Amino acid sequence: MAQFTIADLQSIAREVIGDRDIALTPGMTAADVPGWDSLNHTLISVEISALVGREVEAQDLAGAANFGALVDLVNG
Amino acid sequence: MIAAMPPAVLPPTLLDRTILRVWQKSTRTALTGREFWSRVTYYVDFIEAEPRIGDFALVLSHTSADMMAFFLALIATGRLAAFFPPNSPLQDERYYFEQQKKSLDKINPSAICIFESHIADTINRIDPDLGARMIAVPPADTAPIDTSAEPRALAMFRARLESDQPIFVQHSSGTTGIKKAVGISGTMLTGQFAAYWPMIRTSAGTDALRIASWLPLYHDMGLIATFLMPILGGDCISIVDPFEWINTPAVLFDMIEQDHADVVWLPNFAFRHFSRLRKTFQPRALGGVKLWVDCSEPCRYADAVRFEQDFESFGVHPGSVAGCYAMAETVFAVSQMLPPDQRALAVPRSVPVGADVRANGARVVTDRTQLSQDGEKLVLSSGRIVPGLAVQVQVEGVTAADGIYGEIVISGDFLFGGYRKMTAADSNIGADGIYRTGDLGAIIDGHVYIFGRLKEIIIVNGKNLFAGDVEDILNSVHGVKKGRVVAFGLDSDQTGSEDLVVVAEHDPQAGPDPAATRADVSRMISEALLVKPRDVRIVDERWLVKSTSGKISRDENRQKYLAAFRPSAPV
Repeated sequence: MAQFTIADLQSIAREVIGDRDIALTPGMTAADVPGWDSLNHTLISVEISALVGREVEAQDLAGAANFGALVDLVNG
Repeated sequence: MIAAMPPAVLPPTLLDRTILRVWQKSTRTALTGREFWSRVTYYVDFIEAEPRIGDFALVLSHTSADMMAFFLALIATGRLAAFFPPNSPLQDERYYFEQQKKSLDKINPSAICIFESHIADTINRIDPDLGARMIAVPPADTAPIDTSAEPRALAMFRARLESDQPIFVQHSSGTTGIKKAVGISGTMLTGQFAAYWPMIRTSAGTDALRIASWLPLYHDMGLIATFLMPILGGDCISIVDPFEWINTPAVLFDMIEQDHADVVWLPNFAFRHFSRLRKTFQPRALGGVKLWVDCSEPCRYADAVRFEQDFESFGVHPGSVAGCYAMAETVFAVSQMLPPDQRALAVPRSVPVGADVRANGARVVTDRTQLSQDGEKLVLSSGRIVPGLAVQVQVEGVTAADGIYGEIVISGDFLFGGYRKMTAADSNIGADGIYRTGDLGAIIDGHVYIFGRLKEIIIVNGKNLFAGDVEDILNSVHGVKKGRVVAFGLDSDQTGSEDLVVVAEHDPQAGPDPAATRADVSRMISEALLVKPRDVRIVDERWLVKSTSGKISRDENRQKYLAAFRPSAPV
């Protein structure tokens, strides 16, 4: 697929957390986003895996310093 | 059917059967009773040779056979033992312990026993006094064991069960880190075991349960239901660390299938989480589970039914999710529903205390095709009261009739005598020995239904938060107008728990714009309370409603929030 982007991540986060007002920037982290807890983190990882067509480990994503790094990690 | 006989405590037969399987990263280590109690004995020797442990030791570790054995060894040697939660892999270790310092200071243990050396370095950096109380516990010696005699720790532990003095402590999770401690005596523990375990065994149709669990041992459900009760009974525990389960939820299903589990305890949110993840699971055989106990937060019938339906093709039996009402103050279970007695109470969203719920439109639901109508919530029954406890509903101190909505009060054989270092009166125990729980509910036809609280407590995934404490923390956030913030809980259909919602008025003079303030509020709550708010709204000045007494009104602002930001949500 095409490159995974911060817009893709925002779309998934909005859907999983159920908040259309979530706005992500590369410098933000999960701590900055209401509703992004450890359970939703697992669900977001599942949705990222489905979108990019390969398994992305929730634990690996949790280690990313911020959302910019998370996107880079997904793009490998 | 197995008769509900008083169960044997620590029966000798446990020595030669598998009683523990610890799962870690897809491998499992199985221990017989003899092997496990030999590890306990190894740690008894260690503790007896280590005077620095003192009389009250915290065990701070991720789940492992060694930390479980060490906890029992502390009890066996006459020490007061307690588990304390470690940081999650998602939390910065140093920041976590800085946040927990207040709790550790309050608990004031003589020793903090750890199994991972890097934790000692972290705690030493934040507080040398705490660091001085750190005991590094070595891995247990697993050399060949003596099979000719019973491990000596077993007799020592058995003797401690005779004690009417606390042998371990359960800590409630509080908002500000000031944890209330409930001391559990040997006789309280065996009292709960004699009352509760026969119900579970009878329901599962076996006198040797096989339990699968990811529950943390620093929480009463994990500690009592999935560790100490099966240890007393010589039943078999399959366990995985909670943080491993969060990352790989399917591991619980692997454990159930491979270890042939017949009972599982879960908080309500976990049932909902499994349903949300349904499409990701490969088929597993879950039909061996006779009882899925739904406990530790409001039990929701819709989540129970949806779980059963979503996983019916995996073998989950209709009606097998059973509510339980439990608390550390009674060691664990107060009441327990058992299949095939599953039922729910469809209750209006607002019922005044003292009212007859049925006269206000509530109805008992036993047919799952009759789920809720608009304006109702469906409360899963927490079942019938366990033997040895007396549970009543009271309104203004007077015992109420069947079906009246009021405060749940408890007395009985294994009720605590007060929080540690607090008087009975300060622990909500009256001179009559009755404990006022602060929970609101009704008893109908012998079934206990819990669906409210006297105080503004928000339970997020099993953690109790006081709304006032959340609001106090946010007054220091730049961009939030001081004193103009409200926190409240909302039932969540999405998570199966309660959502923490914060609404704060923006202070435009302070600098940060509303988006940055929203992120700051989210981060502040996460760091200070170790809980994530579900929603944060930064609103204009004078948005929040004050009551006639001049205080910010939680109820009115909850209604205003729902109308403004969640118009489709139930009010």
